[in-house]
Amino acid sequence: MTFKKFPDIIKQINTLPLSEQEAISHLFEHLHPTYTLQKELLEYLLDIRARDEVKIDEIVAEMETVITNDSLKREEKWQQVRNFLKQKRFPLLTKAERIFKKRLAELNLPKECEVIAPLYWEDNKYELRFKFINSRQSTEILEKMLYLSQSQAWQELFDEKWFEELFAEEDIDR
Amino acid sequence: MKNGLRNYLPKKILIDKEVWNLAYTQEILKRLPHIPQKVVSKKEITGSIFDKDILFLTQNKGRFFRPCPCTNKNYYLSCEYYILEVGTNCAFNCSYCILQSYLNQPFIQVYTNLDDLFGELDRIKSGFYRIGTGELTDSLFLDHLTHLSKYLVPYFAKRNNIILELKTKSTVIDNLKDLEHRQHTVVSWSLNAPEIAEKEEHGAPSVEERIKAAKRCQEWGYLVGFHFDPIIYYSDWENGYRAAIEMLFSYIDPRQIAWISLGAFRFMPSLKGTIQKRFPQSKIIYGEFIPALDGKRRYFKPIRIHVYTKMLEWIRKFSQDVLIYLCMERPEIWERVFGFVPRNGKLKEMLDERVKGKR
Repeated sequence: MTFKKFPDIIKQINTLPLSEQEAISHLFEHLHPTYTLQKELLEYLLDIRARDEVKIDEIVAEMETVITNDSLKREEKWQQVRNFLKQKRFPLLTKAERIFKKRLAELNLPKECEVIAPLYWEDNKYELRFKFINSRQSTEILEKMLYLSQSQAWQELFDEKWFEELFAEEDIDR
Repeated sequence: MKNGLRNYLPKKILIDKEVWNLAYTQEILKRLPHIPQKVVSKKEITGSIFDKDILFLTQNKGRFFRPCPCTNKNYYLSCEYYILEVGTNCAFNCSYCILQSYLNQPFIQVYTNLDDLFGELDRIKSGFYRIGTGELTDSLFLDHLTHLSKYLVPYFAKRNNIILELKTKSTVIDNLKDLEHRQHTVVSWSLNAPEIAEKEEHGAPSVEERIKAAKRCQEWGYLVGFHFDPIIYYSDWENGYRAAIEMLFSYIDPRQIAWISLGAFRFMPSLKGTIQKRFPQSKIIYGEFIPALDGKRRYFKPIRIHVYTKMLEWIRKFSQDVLIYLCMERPEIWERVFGFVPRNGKLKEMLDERVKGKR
């Protein structure tokens, strides 16, 4: 098996000890990632390696069941590997995404509505989109949204009060 | 390192032939007769900013006085600071130093065309400005060689619409002792958690040495300032920064503090590679940084809010009145941490009033 090789990425991989080079080859051979994905995964791996002082072999070994699971489609493997590495590299950010998603679902917005949070919450502009088929439906949706917007759950979510929840547990890996 | 680079001496001095004849150039050279000196043409010099053993006396051909380049003011609140560019680079080797990716001039440079510098300051007739010399260099680390403070501090003492901030990590303060300052100069120190200072601020004096130097300046009647910047979010950050704050207030009278700023670590993306290469043991770049609206990498916003809120709480235990501000932060972070947003010039006003009120 093989994977597509790119000079700048290979150059970075070649600076690593042999066992770690082999672990990355193993990962890429099973995933056949694009250039962009190779870069992304490699950056996660190198950052985790440096931060936690672990070998890449050990990180890749933790993903072995996903990497070698032949019942998964390639895109599914990509997603699961990315999620695993992102969670490891950015535990608080991943936790925030999980909390936000859960709290948003609990608002029970009309199914025609969609809320888009600012990227990484750095900006403070949320976007609300909804679809409607006629004036009556648009009024119904707006009325429901107005009602929801007065709830404590809505205010806590969009006033970003839930940020503190991120620091409630002591086991966050900084 | 105790006393840090108090005794820093260059191993070689290059003198730009354009400034060779200036009195201030000669004054500096007279203090260093034992150091090899060479007159050069600026065009012929080559080197890097990491050649810190070479001191280059040259001229600032551009502007000495200009607005702080800080960051994109559309997204982050600016304190409307001004810089006085008296030189570039510094002898310390802080792993996080932004100058590593910002400066493109070699060596440690000192501009000796002081007539031009003071000419620019003379032309500031209206308005009120806080002006710092510590943006592209450390304000004091070379003062035992340049004695620049002996020119700047008395000059600012005579002026009523400009305030000088000497921002430093050094303990080179002896020249400040007997100067006429009228509290028109704020001497300020960058502080950090002692553990971070030891691991990341190579060659700089310990946090305690810096605070002791600040105490001496306070005894000489100066207002002092402190900048917790960059704040690093690491596993033991709470103990580290709380210890630094406790140490600060064990030496310093809060009534004579001009301001304390807080700024979480942020950097241009290119700095990551530089830190990895120059400081492979450093882990500060592996925090949870996200691409921010100004192109820099910043800690994920909840981390910044969390850190600032805690630090504010710890500082307030010692002083309810000391002016604390955030350096280049989002308005909603101000709102969460302080309960208000100093928009439309209010931050400048707060800082200006603090020093005007002391006159």
